[in-house]
Amino acid sequence: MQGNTDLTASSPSPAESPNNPKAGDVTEYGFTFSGTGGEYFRIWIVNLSLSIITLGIYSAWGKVRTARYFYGNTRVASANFDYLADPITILKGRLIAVAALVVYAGVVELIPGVAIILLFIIGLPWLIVRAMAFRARNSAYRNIRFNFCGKTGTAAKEFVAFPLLLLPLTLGLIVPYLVYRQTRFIVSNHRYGKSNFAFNGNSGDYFTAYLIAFGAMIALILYFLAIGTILIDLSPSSEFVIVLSAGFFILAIIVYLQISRINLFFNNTSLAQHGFRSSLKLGGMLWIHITNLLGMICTLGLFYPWAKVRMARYRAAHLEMAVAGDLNSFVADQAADISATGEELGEALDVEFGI
Amino acid sequence: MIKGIFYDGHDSRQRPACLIAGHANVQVCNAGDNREVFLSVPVSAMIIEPKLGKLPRTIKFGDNSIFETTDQDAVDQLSKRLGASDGNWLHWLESHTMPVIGMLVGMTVITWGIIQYGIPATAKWVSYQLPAGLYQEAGDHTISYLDKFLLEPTQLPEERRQTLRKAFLSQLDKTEKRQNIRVMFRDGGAIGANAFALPSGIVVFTDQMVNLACDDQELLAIFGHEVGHIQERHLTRKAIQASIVGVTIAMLLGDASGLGEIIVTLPAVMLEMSYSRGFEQEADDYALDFLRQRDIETGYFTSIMERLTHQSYEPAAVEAEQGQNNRFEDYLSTHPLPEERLEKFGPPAPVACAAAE
Repeated sequence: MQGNTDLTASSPSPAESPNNPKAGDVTEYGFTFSGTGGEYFRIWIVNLSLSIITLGIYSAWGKVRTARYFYGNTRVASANFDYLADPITILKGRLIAVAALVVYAGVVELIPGVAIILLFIIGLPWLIVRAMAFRARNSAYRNIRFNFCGKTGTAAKEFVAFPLLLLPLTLGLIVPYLVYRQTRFIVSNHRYGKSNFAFNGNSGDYFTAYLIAFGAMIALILYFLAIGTILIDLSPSSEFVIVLSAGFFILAIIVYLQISRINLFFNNTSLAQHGFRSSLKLGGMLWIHITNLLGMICTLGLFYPWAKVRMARYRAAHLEMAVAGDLNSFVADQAADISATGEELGEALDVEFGI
Repeated sequence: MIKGIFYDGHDSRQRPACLIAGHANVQVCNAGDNREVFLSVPVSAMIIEPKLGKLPRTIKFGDNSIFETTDQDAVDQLSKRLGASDGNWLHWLESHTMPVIGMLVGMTVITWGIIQYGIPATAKWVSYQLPAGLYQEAGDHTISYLDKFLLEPTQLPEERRQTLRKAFLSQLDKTEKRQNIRVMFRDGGAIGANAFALPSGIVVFTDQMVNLACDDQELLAIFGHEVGHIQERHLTRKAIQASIVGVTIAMLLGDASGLGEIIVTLPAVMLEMSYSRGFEQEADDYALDFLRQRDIETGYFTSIMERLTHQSYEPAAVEAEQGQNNRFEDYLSTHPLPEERLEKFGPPAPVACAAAE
C-alpha cells in the first residue's frame, strides 16, 4: 500500500501523481477502494425504488450508476477507473433479453431438447465475446478505454468445443487445463488503448490449485463418512453441527478455488512492461464471505450494499500494480461501439463472465 | 478557477490543469508555469457529469477529452451558474436521510404489495389469455414425460377404473365439463399415494391413492380438489409467477454475484412455496364447494388426508413436528397444515376400513 487513501481524499495534483519517476524504475502501486457501505446503501435503495416505480425501466440507469460508483472508487497510481456505458444501450439489451427469455420459455416445452442445446452451444460463445467486449469498451482508466477483441470462433473453441470433446475423454481431469486456456483467451484478447494485455501463466499452476481443492474434497468426504459410521445414532443437534461444518468446509474449498483463480489471473497478466500482483488469502476471503452471508441473513438482505463494498475493498487492498517507469504513454484506440445485447442476455440467463 | 487534471483522450498522461469558465468560453490550461492552453470551447459545449457519492467530478467538452477535479463546491457553483443541474436530483435523493428512509419504507410496502397482489393477479390474467391449444399441448407433453420417467402403468382392474371414472365424471357440472376433464390411473412408483391435475384437464390418481381410500366418496373429495386446480388454472399460474419472480429478481439485483446469488435465490424459492400453498388453499375451497353442492359429506376429505399424512410420516415424527415446528413449517410447506384442513372440512367421516396400507 502506498498510502493511497490520501490520494482519494485530496485533489489529484502534480505532487502526488506518479508522472515523472525515472524510466526503468519499478514502482508498486496498491489498488484502493474508497466507497463506503453507507454511501452505496443510499445509491442502492434509490436505484431499487426507482426501478420498482418505473417497472424495471430505471434498472438500466441504476446499473450504470452502480458500476460508475464501483469503478470510480477503485483507484491505482493516483487515478480512478470509469464506467461509461449508455443506459439506453443497456435498456435495449435488457428488453431483447426479456423477449428472448419469453420466447425461450414458450418454445422450451415444444421443441426437442437437442435443438435447445444446439442453440445454446452456438449462442454461448457469441454471448461471451459480446459481453466482454461491451464491458471492456465501456471501462476506462485515465480517459483511455479498454477493449476486447476475441473472436467468436476462438471462444467457441475454448468454451464449447474443447470442453465437450475433452471432458468426457479425460473424465473431467482436464478441467484445470481448460480453465487455463480460457483465462489466457480472456486476458490476451483484452487491450488498454492500443496496448495488449499478455498472459504468461502455465497450466501447471492451475493443476496444482485444483489438485489441492480435489484432495481437500476427498479428505472431507472421508472424514464425514468416518463420523457417520462412528456416530450411528445422531441427535438432531449434532446433525445440525455436522451439516454446518460440512457447509463451512465446502465453502472453504470453493473460496480457495476462487482466490487461486483470481491470484493466478493477475499474477500472470502483464500490460506492456507493467505487471500485477494479487495476494488474496483464503482466511481473509472466507471471513468476508461468511460475515457477509450472516449479515445478509440477519438483516433480510439489507446488508447487501455493505457486503458488496467490503468485498470490493478487500479485493482492491490485495491487488498491486508494478509500474515500470510511468503510465503516461498509453495511446487511445478508436473502435466501433458494441451493443449491450450480449452482456444483458448473459445476465438474464445467469451466465457470469469476467473477473 | 478550478484545479484538477486534464486527460486529452489521446494518451494516458495526467496533465495538472486549471479550468476557467468565462461567460462565453471555457478554457482548460496547464497548471504549470507555461500556462499552455489545452482547450478552449464555448460554455455550451461543456457537459458536467452528475454528482455520485464523493467521486471526483468529470467535465466533458464534446470531444474525447475530460477534466477531472475533486473540488466539489466549485463544480456545484459552476453548474448552478450554468443552470445545468440535471441528474443531481439523484444525488439529492441519495444524500438526504428522509428520502432514503421514505424510499426504504415505500419499497418495503410496494414489494409486499407486488408479491401479495400484483404478481398473482398478473399471472391469473395471463393464464386466462393463453389459447386453449397451448394447454392441451402442455398437458399431453407432461403426461408422456411423467410416464417415461416417473409413473408405471396402472395395476388396477379395468372394471374398477371404469366405475371410478364414471362416478367422477358424472358429478361434473356444465362449466367443469367444458374443461374436457379426463381421469387417468397410474402406478405411482416413487411418488406413492398421490393425485394431481394437469392444465389440459387430465386428473391422475395413483393406484396407491385409490387403494388408500376406504370409501369412493373420499376419492371424489380428492377429485374435487384436483378439478379446482384445473378450473383455476393453478399449474399455469404457478409457472407464470415463477417466471415473473425470476426475471424481476434478476433485473433488480442483476449485479449480484457469487454468494449473493444464493441469497437472492432463497427468497424466490420461499415465495414460490408460499404461492403454492395459496393455490392448494384455493383448490381446497373449491373441493369444499364441490362436495357441499353435491350433498357429500366434507369429512371424507379430512379422513383420506389424515390417512395420507400418517402414511407418509412415521407417527412419532408427526407428533414431534406438530409439537414444535408448526410456525416455521407454515412458511416452508407447500400444502396447508393438517389442522387448517381439519377446520375447513370438519371432522373425518366415519369410514370403516380394514387396510390402510
